[in-house]
Amino acid sequence: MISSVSKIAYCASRSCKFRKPIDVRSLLERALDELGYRDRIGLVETECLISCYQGPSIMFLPGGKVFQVLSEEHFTETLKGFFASLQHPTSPLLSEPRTEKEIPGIEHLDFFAKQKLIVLRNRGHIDAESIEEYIAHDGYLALYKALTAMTPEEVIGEVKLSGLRGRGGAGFPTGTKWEEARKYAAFPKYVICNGDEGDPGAFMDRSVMESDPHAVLEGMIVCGYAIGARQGYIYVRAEYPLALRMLRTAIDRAREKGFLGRNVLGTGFDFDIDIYPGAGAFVCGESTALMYSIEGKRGMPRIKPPRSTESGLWGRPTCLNNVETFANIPRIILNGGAWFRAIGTEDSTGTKVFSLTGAVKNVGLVEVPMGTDLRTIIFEIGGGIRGNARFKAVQLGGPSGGCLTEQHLHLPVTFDSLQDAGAMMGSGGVVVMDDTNCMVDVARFFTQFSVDESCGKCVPCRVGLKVMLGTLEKIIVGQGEPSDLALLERQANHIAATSHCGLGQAAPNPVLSTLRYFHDEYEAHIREKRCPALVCTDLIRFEIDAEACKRCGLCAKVCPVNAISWQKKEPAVLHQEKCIRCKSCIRACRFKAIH
Amino acid sequence: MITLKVNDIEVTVPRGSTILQAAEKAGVFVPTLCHDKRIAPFGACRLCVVEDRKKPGSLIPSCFTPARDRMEILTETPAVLDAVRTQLQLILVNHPLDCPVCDKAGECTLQDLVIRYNITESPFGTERFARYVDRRSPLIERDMTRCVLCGRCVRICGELQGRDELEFLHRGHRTVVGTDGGRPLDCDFCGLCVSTCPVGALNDKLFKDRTRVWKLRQETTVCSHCGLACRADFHLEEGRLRRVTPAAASGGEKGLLCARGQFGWRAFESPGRLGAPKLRRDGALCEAGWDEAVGHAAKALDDIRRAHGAASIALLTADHLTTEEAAAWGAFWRDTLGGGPIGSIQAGGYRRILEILEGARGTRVAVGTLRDLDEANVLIVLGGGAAEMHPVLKPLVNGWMKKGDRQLAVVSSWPDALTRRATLALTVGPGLVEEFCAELLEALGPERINPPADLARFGIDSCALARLIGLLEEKRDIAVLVAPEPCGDNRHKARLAAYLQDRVRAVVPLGGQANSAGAVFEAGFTSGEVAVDGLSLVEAIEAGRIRALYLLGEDPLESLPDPSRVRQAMEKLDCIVCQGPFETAVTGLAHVVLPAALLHEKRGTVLSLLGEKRTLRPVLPPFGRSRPDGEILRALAAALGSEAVPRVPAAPAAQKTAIPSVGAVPRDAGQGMPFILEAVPSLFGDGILSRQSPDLAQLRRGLRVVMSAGDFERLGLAEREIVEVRTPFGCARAEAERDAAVPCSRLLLRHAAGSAAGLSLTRPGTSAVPAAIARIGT
Repeated sequence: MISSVSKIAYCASRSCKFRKPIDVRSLLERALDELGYRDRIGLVETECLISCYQGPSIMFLPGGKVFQVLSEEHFTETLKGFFASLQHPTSPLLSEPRTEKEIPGIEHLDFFAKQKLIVLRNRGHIDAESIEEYIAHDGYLALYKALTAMTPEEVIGEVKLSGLRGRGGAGFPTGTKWEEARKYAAFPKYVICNGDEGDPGAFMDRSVMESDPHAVLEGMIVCGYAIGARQGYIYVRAEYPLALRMLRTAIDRAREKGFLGRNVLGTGFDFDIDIYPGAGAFVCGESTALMYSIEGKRGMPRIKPPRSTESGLWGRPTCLNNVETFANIPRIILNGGAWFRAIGTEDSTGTKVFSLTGAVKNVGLVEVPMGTDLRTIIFEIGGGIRGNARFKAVQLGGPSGGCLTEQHLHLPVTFDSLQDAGAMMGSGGVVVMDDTNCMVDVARFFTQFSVDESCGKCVPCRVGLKVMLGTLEKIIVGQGEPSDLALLERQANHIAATSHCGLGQAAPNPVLSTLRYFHDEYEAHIREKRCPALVCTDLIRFEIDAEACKRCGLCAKVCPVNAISWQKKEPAVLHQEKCIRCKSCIRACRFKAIH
Repeated sequence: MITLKVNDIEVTVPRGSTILQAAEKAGVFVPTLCHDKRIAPFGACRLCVVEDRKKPGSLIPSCFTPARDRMEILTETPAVLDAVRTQLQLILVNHPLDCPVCDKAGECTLQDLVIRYNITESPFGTERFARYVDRRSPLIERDMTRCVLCGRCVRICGELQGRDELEFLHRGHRTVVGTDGGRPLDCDFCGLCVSTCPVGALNDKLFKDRTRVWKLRQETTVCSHCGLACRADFHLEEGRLRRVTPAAASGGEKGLLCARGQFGWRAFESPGRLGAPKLRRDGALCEAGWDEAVGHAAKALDDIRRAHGAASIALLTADHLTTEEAAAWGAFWRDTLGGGPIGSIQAGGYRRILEILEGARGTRVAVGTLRDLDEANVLIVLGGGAAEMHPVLKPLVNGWMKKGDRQLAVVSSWPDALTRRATLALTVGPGLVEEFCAELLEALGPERINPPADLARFGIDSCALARLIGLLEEKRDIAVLVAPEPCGDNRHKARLAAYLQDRVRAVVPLGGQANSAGAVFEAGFTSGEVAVDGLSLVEAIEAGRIRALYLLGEDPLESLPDPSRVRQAMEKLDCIVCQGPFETAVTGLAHVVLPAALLHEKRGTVLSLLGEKRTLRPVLPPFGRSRPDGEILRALAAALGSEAVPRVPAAPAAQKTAIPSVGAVPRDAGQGMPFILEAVPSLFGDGILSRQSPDLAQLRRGLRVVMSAGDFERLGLAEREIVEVRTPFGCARAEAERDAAVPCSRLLLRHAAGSAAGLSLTRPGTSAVPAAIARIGT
């Protein structure tokens, strides 16, 4: 018993055409046009609907009711009769919340229409705990292809051809890295998947690990085959319990099915994967610190050379890639490097997943071809600024990225395009800010994060960041002096130039970019002791407009520190010395009498 | 080789050198704080930044960046100078300017850099993060408020000493260097961390608050605590020794020293030091003049040799003589006094092994040197305790292992320091090292008997043995270290080494004292046929073959097992002449006591066990009225007159006694004694010199018995509890200690030397005895 139809599958096999030469597709199109269901019911061409003795036939989905197309005549009437028998001839349409436009499926939303899903292709479509569903969606086919039809060199050649670059942020060419790791004859070698995603507001890797763990495993196994490794580790932060559970289940299932363990797919290739939960240090996302962490040592970046591909985990050649990088591999192997290369730009091929957060309407994960400009990402996919406020800045690449302004929205996002503007693509965090954000405060927030997460090894990062944070805090509480701006710039440049690892080198980016593009805000804080965005609590004071005040007393009720006194029929009075500028009263006032 | 320019000075360095090394070769100063040549570069202080003329604007840390061909390095561009100045200002943010009370002032790297770069003010103000001061650890004070977190102590402890006692704790600006749980240090006290600290964060407590460094005069001499004769810098203030530090790393030297060398120097001025000659008059020792004492000794010796023959006078040497003195003594003993037996107790094992090595070959052997050790890629250690007898071997071997693809095989009956580092640990049962070596020799030897089937007896699996044999048969550079048991049998070990001599690059016997190698190799200060050591000496005295004893710094009473028997034997002697630097147990029985100078008070040469020749100049005058052994010899020879007595061949009765093996333990004696006890050497020195140091004594904490963690808990012992140890031979009180690496039912006895009770637990020649532990009061 079916209640509605969303798709109709039709048989296009040659044997059915021989039985009855009917062009089922055009017949269906015509009939649906006449019935007015053309937009709502999709057509699916299939090779065979099994019941060849009846053919040609069509199948109503969902439900799977099969209907035999006996002749072209009266086809429309027959369909009409069928639809009339249904309670709802077609599934209800989705209406887009903001435009109220009716659309047939979620993929027709503007949010999805501009995206191209490679890494996130299976998200939501398959049960992450079911290996069968993954296999049904071409899962492990790439592994099979690599192991049976390709040599390791061919695999590496394909990855090199694809132009895939590391998705963790640095953008090192993946094929080159694999080639390096293969070059060393030492044994054992290791494959490491870096799932220590620590940037505030970034959750691309978590989503992949939670919704499509097998794609990561498959990419790692292919990598192991290519470089000659037999052991893989996935380093996942312990703050991702669901990702850990999904990966554990996936590894168990893959072992059961023979994709992991001894003699993978009967080809004689051995590979196994273990999970190593991280202990909560941001710096352990740095590859060498991550390896120390797996070894049980203190997570501190080590000096290079040697590169990890020569001497990494336990002094052995190690190939470390990001979760997203590995998730791209199966598609590249299946569809070929040239297919991947055609997506994106010349230098940055393929797609990139961004986690779009902040003051944007459509918050979520976005996968777009490389080279998509920021305006498309923020305004078309993201739907613009929430509450129709004014766009102020966008911060890319987590705590180590820079803030860009309106004038940069035309820039395409690739590995190299944002460098001149003082930002970087990084691992893919996109934080959109509107005019309620104070950029000095934003710089302080990200600097505070870097101060907390610095490992403490090198002087500029350990002491320099702390000193820079001190200067920012001084400005925020209104004790800034005009000389502080030059000092801040000097500190930031010094830290960037002399720090040891990526954390320290990029940590001053928020400060440097805000100094560059929002110099006037710093000036306002220092010279006028004023916070234009009304964020820095020491620089703002509220007042109650006695004329606008309707004497309701709501502000006095919500004030957590009793800074507002109110008597019936009297305008409320704000006591500045008690006020903590929490803005509760502003939010509570229905008459906009407090500012 | 690659050629590059540093500040326009062209310099050629081997490929793989760092920019810093190139700059050093060009004579260009590059500031560093976290760099120490003894350990791998770390890149923490970021002071060593330089610029490449071809890539202006990018600052390159030179301490670990490899130099490339045709680089043009600039070290004094405005960008570099600004970066260095800012870095120093940042470092000073967390560094107290307490230089007036800091012992490092005057030799502080940070202070020097601040002055060099003219840092007079800090533009950065931030509150200082409070850190702690560890004043509870023995010998080392850690003042973390002064720490600049360069990590040199952490790395030198882990990389070279292999202890990992210190580690960075917390992160970011809260980082401190500390121990686990903030406990006081409980480590090897090698002092390398103190020697590497660029600021005043790690202090030598013996030096702290005593003087200022600019008042010190520095003299380089050797450390005489063991046979490695490491170079050490003695720091003197107006004729007083203030501290000892490892000699700066240069050339082939590693700049290493151990606890004994760095903290054991107060032995030189200990109350036990002999300051005046003494003479026994009416049963009591009284101070006497040099002429009187020497004359007395000469007369006594002369009388005995005339009455009983020269073979009845034995000489025991602690090998604290310079090579020249040893040569003179050897000549004197042979030619003037007639050639009685010569032996040693503290260096007995070393001398015995050499004797067998030479006996096997029939000629002088060329023993391995430090260079051999460095260049070998397989190291085989026969016998346990090598790194305990010579603590500097530990950082040497650790540094050697770091070079990659190195194999360290250790045959030992207990988990000594090298066993813990070994890639192939052959831990045999207690007291079975000798038997194992004998079996191994048979398996390898010309007969090539298959390895014994009952390996279970030794407690090692055939796989490990196969690997050892595989290592020996591979064509690789092998060095063999032979570590003797202090008072045990070492014949089979030596025979195995002798057999291996032709196959391997080098054989190095260990266990010698300060100048054992010089005395034996260069001076020939050995007795031709009859050597005495340990048990054979006691037996010879008991049999009346030896009637007088000349002790050069030795003390049989404090070093030989079974002290009551040794004392009885000593009391039988007609004459004992004690010539040595310290007053020890045997001095009480001596007839003549002649105070001798220590090595650093002498002039001459010394040869280390690893073949390094060192020239000595006296850095201090001889203590009190003591004299160098050479001078004493001249006086003695003069007093004896030039009348040479013809050399007496050894008495036929004085054959070498076969040293009894483990069978010496009475068969039914093990009843009710569940443990097996072995006496093992101590890191803090078992020699007479080390025992004189009050600071090493503080680390030794008397007699100690080490057991497995399981046994420790089963007995319900508390940390540092004093327990009673019983063996079939005696009973002693010792401090209990646990060590997870010790197998269960085993006891390791440390610091028995110098303790009568400790020595009474064992017998000469028996390396493993049954034992029981009882809590006191139960």
